[in-house]
Amino acid sequence: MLLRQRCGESLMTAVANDAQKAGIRKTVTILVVFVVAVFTWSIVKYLL
Amino acid sequence: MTTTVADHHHDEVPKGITRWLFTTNHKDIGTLYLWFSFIMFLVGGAMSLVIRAELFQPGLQVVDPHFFNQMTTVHALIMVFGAVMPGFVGFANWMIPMMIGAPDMALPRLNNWSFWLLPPAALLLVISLFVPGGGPASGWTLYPPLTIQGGMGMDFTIFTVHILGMSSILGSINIIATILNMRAPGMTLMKMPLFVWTWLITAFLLLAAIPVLAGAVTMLLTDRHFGTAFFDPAGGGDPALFQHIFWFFGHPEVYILILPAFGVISQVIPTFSRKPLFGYTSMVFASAAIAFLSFIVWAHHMYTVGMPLSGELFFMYATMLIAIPTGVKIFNWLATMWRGSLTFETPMLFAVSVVCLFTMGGLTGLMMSITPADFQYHDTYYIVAHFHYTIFAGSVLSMFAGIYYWLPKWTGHMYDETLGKWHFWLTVIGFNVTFFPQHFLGLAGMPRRIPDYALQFTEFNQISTIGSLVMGFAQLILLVVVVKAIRGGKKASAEVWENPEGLEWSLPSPPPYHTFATAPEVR
Repeated sequence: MLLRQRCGESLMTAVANDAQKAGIRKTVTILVVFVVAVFTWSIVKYLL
Repeated sequence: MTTTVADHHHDEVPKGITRWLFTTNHKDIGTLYLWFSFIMFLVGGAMSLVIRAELFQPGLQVVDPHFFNQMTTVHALIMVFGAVMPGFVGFANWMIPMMIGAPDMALPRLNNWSFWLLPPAALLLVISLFVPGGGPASGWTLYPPLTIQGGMGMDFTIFTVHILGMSSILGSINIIATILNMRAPGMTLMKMPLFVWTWLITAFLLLAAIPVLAGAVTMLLTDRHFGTAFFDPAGGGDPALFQHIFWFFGHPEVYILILPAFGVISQVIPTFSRKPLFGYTSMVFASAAIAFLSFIVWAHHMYTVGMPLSGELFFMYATMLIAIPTGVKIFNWLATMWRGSLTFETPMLFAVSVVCLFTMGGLTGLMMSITPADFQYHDTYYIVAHFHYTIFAGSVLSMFAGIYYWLPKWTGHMYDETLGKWHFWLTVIGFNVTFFPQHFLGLAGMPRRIPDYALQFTEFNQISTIGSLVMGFAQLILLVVVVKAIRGGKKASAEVWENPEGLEWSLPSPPPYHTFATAPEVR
């Protein structure tokens, strides 16, 4: 909870408004899912 | 193009070591990246001088063969992952927020962490040289089965690659999030400076390529210690599989190193030609085309491993296709200069040298794309000459162009033009004396990564070593230039150059600690 709050504060220093903040969260989520999927698949496909 | 307000209200610069340890300011982090890159550049450069000293004469003089192999490996790993990649991330940190009118990167704390992952990773790699069995000696490609058999240094290297990869991924996420979400009002995608565009594309390349490398070295690790046999023929694995996976990462990596360089050149040439960049839209699409093609050409690095004829033909033609978008870029730079009001300050000298020398590296690459010809060139000094003409003459010289171009903006002082020109001429002459003869050595059949050679290769090797000494020690001039500019000198104006284009030039030199707290309006 504290971490979430602190991350939120950190974002506020650079981010102008809530819409921008939501956009950043969406972008980061999509990219993180993509990276994890590529890493996992690059190993798992040789195990199947 | 724009109106700008720089916010001076919160311009208190933190003091002492904590400023650098805990900073979330994009300019500070950019500076940290650039200094880290320069230190790694000197360390990797020193290793290349060890290699060249050994190759000055046939026979074994300076180091033993195992250490020679460690030097070739660690030199490459340091230059690729420690010098060039972090160097361009430094440029990205400094310039992208200022170019798009953002107050900082989207994720400032993540930015700090991305940087501070680098020094321990680099230390780990250098320490690997001193553990029992020595550092990695497999070449930067880390091919098994040699890397399955290596000592503890190999584990250090795998861990290093993981950490450096994590840093790159976090940095890329930050860059994409910043560019897509924090552009100033009116700054549409097709109004972004080319440097921002090339970095956006590079960041996507990194996100698609680095996890694959992480997967490959993770499998290497489990093969070494956890009883798997992905790449071990004794357990039913296949070493050639590693080569496919490595180069699926490795070829996009080449463009990760060169695309931001193209971005820098696309900023420098219009300024010193006093003309807008020719063919902006085609530059953007050419960059995207290069990025796409980079994922479907990986097997041209391993023709000699053996593959079906249809595979060889596919990779040969796909590789040749890359010449088209690359040619578009070269043509556009030349067209920008055509009938421009040219002047040749140090950044422009470096930019023009990149256009000339990188084109040579591209042309030798085109020769190597031809499968039957590549069987002759493979693993010879021709390859060494080729990739130094692309990575050193393409990426590193572009970085020098960028440093001289933006140094007055960063420090607020003009650099010493005379020393800059000395740095340029000694670097470019030294570079060509070092690497041009290596084409002949390769064509005559001298293999790479071997500390000894046949007598007939002696003269070209001696010329090459002399060139490397000139090029190596010339880099100390850059250090002097940068330190002098930081300490003082003629004050730089906000624009620095004659009517340069871009938001960064609307800020004072040096820019305040916090910029664009109020977003500028781009028309």
